[in-house]
Amino acid sequence: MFDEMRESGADEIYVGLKPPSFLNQLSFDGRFQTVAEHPAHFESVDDLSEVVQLAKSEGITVNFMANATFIPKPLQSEYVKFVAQAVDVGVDRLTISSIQTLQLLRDSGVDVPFTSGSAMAPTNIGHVRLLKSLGVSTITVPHCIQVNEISQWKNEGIEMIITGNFGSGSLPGSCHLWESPNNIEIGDGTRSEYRYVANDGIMSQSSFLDAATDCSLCSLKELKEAGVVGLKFIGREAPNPVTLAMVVDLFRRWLDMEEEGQSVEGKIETMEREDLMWTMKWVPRFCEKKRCTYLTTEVTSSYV
Amino acid sequence: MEPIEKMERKNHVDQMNRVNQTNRVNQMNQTKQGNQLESHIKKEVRIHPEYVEGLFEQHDLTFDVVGIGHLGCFHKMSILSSEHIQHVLSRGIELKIELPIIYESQINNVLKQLDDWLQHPVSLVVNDLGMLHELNRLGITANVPLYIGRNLVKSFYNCPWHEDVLVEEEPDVQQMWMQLNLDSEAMLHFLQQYHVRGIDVDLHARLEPSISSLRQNGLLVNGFTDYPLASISRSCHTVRHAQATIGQCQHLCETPLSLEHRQRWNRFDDTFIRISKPNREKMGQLLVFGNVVVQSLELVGLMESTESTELVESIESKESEESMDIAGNVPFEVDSVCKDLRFSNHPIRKQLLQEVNI
Repeated sequence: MFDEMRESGADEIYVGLKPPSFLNQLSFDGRFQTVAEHPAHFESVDDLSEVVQLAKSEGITVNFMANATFIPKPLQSEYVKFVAQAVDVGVDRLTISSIQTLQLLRDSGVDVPFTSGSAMAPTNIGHVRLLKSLGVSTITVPHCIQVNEISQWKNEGIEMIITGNFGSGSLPGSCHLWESPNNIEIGDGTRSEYRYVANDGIMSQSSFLDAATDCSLCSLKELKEAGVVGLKFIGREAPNPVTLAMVVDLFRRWLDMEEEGQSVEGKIETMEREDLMWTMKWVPRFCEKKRCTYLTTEVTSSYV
Repeated sequence: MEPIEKMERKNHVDQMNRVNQTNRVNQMNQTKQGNQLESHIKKEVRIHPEYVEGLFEQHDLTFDVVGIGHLGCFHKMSILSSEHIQHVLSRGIELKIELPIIYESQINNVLKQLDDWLQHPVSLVVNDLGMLHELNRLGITANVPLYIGRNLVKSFYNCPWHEDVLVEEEPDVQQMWMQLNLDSEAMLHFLQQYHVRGIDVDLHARLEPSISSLRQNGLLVNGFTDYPLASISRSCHTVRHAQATIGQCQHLCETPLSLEHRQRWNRFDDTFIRISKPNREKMGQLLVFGNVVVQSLELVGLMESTESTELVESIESKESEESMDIAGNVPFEVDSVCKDLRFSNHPIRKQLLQEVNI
């Protein structure tokens, strides 16, 4: 997967490491050990180290995922030791998703920049300021925060990144409808189909909780102006790394076209002309289903 | 549902009923002994502002504390006025105002409204760290009793199928992970810095060690015994489906929708697979109230049965017959028990809705 990411033009990679063996599916980061039966972590510190060295040789930043939303008290020292392994092999940044883990790592003397993960989900400037005061240098802005709101945080002296692809139907960190790693039938509850009886008494079936927004392409210019400096793409457990690389490549091309001064309409025309994946996959899955994260859609119009 | 899951769910219901009975008995014993108010286990109700008047006409309902507000939507609180506040305070009832998750575009308005609300002697319940930080920055946390709401107090129990998620882990690991996210020195220190007095918790028997630990460290625990929180989103599901307009929608989420899982989504190819009946039963049903989703657990809560003499006598007579302990003679106490009438199917809530003609 590293080769695909490098060739697609990624500037930074996100990596996880298999936790100690007393955990079977749980982990010390934001993923279970398997996602839809696909592994989500490097098997060993040696494997991690190899990729870290490769990344360094290519000038690619390595961000280590240590983003558990909490660590049980008896395992706090195990967690710190676990993260220390990654720091020792030279990862450039750490992603955390709780004040507890941030404090544990800072108290242990870790001197690597911190990124706040999706589950921290800052929703207002107070939260941004809190994270900065705790020593976080980069925040992951949740999907549901709109461009005009992001721009209010531009001058807070903290870097902002967004997740360029898949969003959840809920506020990250505030949703417990998790995909189970042990049951192929229990997926992300915000995207499941449900049967219900509507107020008119008629039984219906739909993805009732699906408010997911999965694409930010048309808003990249506005996001940059609002102060966003990076795009993160989820999918380190993706069974087909080529697909994820194609997504990275798509965004890279879009940014290049932006540099050339092309309008959104012009970019779309170019993609329709040149990219089969765009026409066959991206448009039907995201554009036609109005999965736009930052444009006015039925979903974004329903934001409280 | 498989027999083992049915048994576990029944065990949980039984255990939570014993929690309620334990607290009721303790309350009675303390009253008998003439203890001071501080050792009284309080009863709280959480409501929307429009329920205020009807609430005091529910003669079968007794409570020490009223909480008004919302977990996820500030629009539901837009009508909260000094009149509502006075209606509660004038009866000598303690009042908490629960602030939902606040988004950037709302924060200035919220702070302005807070100015009005804090003219009265109320407590605050906060559901986002950003508001906590801002309230602290403004000096409010030092002067206003402050609690942390359920959006910030979590455990694996909040996942409706947490048993499935943990099934591959060893029992000791399962127990370790079934703890509250705030149960650590780092978080206790953080909460102390922000003058947090107590927390709201969705109660589960396996959380007893965490709750006990937090109480020993001086935090008050306000336990919710049914309809555990499952999800909050910024998008209001009810508005989306009704194709309504945000801000003109506050009545829509009063009627919950019950959701039964049918198909699971596959992210990699954007397809669905059918969920089999045993798994559907395992996953249970969800209730949607706008942008708040709770688990539909039908438990007998503290206030569904009336606080009648018959009930008291019944408990007293049963005390000698039943063990009030949970899982090994460990009593499970909290400082208050809360009935959330906003996100539930309680009969009292339905009466209150009729009162406001919703």
